[in-house]
Amino acid sequence: MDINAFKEVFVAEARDYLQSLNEDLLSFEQNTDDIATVDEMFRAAHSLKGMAGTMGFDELAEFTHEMESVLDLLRTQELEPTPEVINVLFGSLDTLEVLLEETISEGEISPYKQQIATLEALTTQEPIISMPFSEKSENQVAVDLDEFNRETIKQGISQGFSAYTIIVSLRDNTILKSVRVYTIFQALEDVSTIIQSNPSAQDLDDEKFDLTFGLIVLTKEKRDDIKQLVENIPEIANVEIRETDLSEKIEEEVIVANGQPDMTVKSKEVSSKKTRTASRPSRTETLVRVETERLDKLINLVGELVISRTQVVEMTIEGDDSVQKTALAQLDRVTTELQYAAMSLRMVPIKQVFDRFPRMVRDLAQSSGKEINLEVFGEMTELDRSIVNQIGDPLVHLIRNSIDHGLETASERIAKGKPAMGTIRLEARHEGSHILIEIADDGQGLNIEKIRQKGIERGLIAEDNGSLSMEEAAELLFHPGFSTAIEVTDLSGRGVGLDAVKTTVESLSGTIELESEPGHSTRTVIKLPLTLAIIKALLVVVDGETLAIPIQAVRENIQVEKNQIKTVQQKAVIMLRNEVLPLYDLAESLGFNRLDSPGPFPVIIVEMRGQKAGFIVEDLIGQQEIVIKSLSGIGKDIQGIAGATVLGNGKVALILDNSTLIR
Amino acid sequence: MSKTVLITDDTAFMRMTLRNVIEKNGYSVVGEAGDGEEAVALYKELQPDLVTMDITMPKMDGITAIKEIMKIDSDAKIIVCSAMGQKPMVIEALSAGAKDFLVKPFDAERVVESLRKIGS
Repeated sequence: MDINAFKEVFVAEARDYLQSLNEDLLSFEQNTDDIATVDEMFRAAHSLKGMAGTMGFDELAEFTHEMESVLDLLRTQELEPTPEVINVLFGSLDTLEVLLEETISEGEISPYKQQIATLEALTTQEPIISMPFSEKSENQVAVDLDEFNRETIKQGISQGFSAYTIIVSLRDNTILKSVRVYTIFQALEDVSTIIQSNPSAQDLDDEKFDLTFGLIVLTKEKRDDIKQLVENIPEIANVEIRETDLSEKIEEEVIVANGQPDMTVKSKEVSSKKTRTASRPSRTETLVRVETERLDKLINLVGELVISRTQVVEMTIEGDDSVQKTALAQLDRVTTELQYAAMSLRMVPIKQVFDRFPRMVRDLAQSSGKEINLEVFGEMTELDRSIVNQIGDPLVHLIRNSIDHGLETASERIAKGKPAMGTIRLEARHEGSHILIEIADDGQGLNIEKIRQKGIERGLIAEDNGSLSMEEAAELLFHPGFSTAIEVTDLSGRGVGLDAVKTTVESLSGTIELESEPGHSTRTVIKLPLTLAIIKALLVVVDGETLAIPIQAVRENIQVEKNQIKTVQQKAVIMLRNEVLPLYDLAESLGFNRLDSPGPFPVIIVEMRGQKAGFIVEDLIGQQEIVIKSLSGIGKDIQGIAGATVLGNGKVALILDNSTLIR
Repeated sequence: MSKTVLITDDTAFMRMTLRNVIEKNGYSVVGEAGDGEEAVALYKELQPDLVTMDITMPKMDGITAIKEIMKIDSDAKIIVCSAMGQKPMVIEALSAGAKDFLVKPFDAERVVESLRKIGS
């Protein structure tokens, strides 16, 4: 067990701490009387320091130590929270972020001593005290309490069990140590459940330990009774038992054996670990960190299970065996629940992305000299993790655009009769099986003439094209290579245009729309699917092939008699509740053989971008949840096909791409 | 009254050595068995407080004997005796119901500790 195995956890947590430091500092800046926030920051810095020290990231540890010192003075109110102090802290957080990322990527470490000196200047008190975590103690046995076991223990405790950490030392003349351990396990298993051991049970069995090992057990017995039970086993030199401490936020539980040094496990991984005293806000205690890879694997497997379930159910549907039917119904229900549970694992609040914006806007406001108020709504809206991971950059770009191109300076705004402070509104909300993310500002809006000029300059539109409509202007903005930044500033216009934003959004099966009221506002709406893995689809038959139509676009399905089909301007239409809808033969639209039937025809009413249309299909099968498998190779770029899925009967069905159905 | 012990080993030498240690420490050896079958029969007859059980023996090996005795008395306190390098068999004996194990050559203190702790 190499310390590097913890790196991933370290990285994720360190970033969390950095984020909360930023948030807390922002809120502290607003209300410098709030010492509780400083406490929080102090703890975060302290935790980071401890973590960095444990990982052997000395630069990071040194830096966070310095921050901790300043925060300590703030919290004991020995240091005034002047704007200067706050700015130094903000600057330090930036340095810390750079330092952290460089450490993680094992790259060159940028100079950070300057920032340390700035921090030190604030303290000017005592000389730097040597960091407590750098003291190595050999006298330790660790029981790594992994997250899964932590959860188990929590559940056990809630059911009235107690969790004890037991450190057992064998006598040094013990023969067949592994068998001795076996008897200890045997004895404990009668009265408790052994949750974890260090070394692992396998290593204990292979006698890959010196004389001391640790256990965590769940039991209803009293602590002293357990202790006595173990002490009553021959060849035991010493037994330490205490309640397992879950309140500390640590990935590794470190236990100090109070025995003589010769009873100590002196393996490499133990000596490199140090006690961490960090505590973390309680909200995070219920969280379990899982590698995304493992999560994806689980979700993929659940997807396969859903398919198999459907297969089994279909295979036996003709049977009359009621016992079998009951069992199948149960299987069906449980699988569905499992599927939802697995899906929900993928869902994360968009907060993780939104959280970085207040700080970003604050900094951009300062550097651009504009007054900006950022309003954030719906940050708890959940969506697929893979989407959340990718939507950050597009949003950054759009917000930068709002600040750089949208909002005016205070004096310009006052001259226009607007409030001096500009507002950027960021909102996420659900809409059906979609999530909408809206970025709106009350700035100057699109300058259509400027856009037109630029379009001509870039050769994107013809010169004699007359004026542009708002839609055309917006479309131009998303054109590859078009950048509205007349002067390249620090904020935006870095060579990546809005087209990059559009590309990212579309790769997530989303759409992006921009509208503007010149002089008053700009509003960008990104519409994204909630998840990319499993969707509800309507299965239809077209030219003998089964196709899946994502349900979000389907409004209804109806039967249409041949005589109900009218022709308007040589195009087939139907009347539906006083609405005239274009009618297409889906087979024809996809290049299949035309449906040859006298009717009545099953027609599916589909709505995209506010436009409705009817599609004639050969037959309707019904609704089903399908697991999207993306196509590769030659199937990848086929227009109108979003992917494929394996149906319950084992056949493959193509999934239609809704956005290309209506054009 | 001192605790009663049944010694099981196929070699007279080992039985003698054990008897010596056990009796010196205030236990009374009520019987000696030379194989598993004998041990099971004597256990029924003598109802000893403790049993030492060799593993490798003719007729019926120690592990089978432990299982048989456990059938008669699930509270039987059996200490399995083994030579070095018999780890899998010791584990088997322990899972069959033996309460502790001793490894030959016997260390007198270990024998006594085992008797004391298992017998308590």
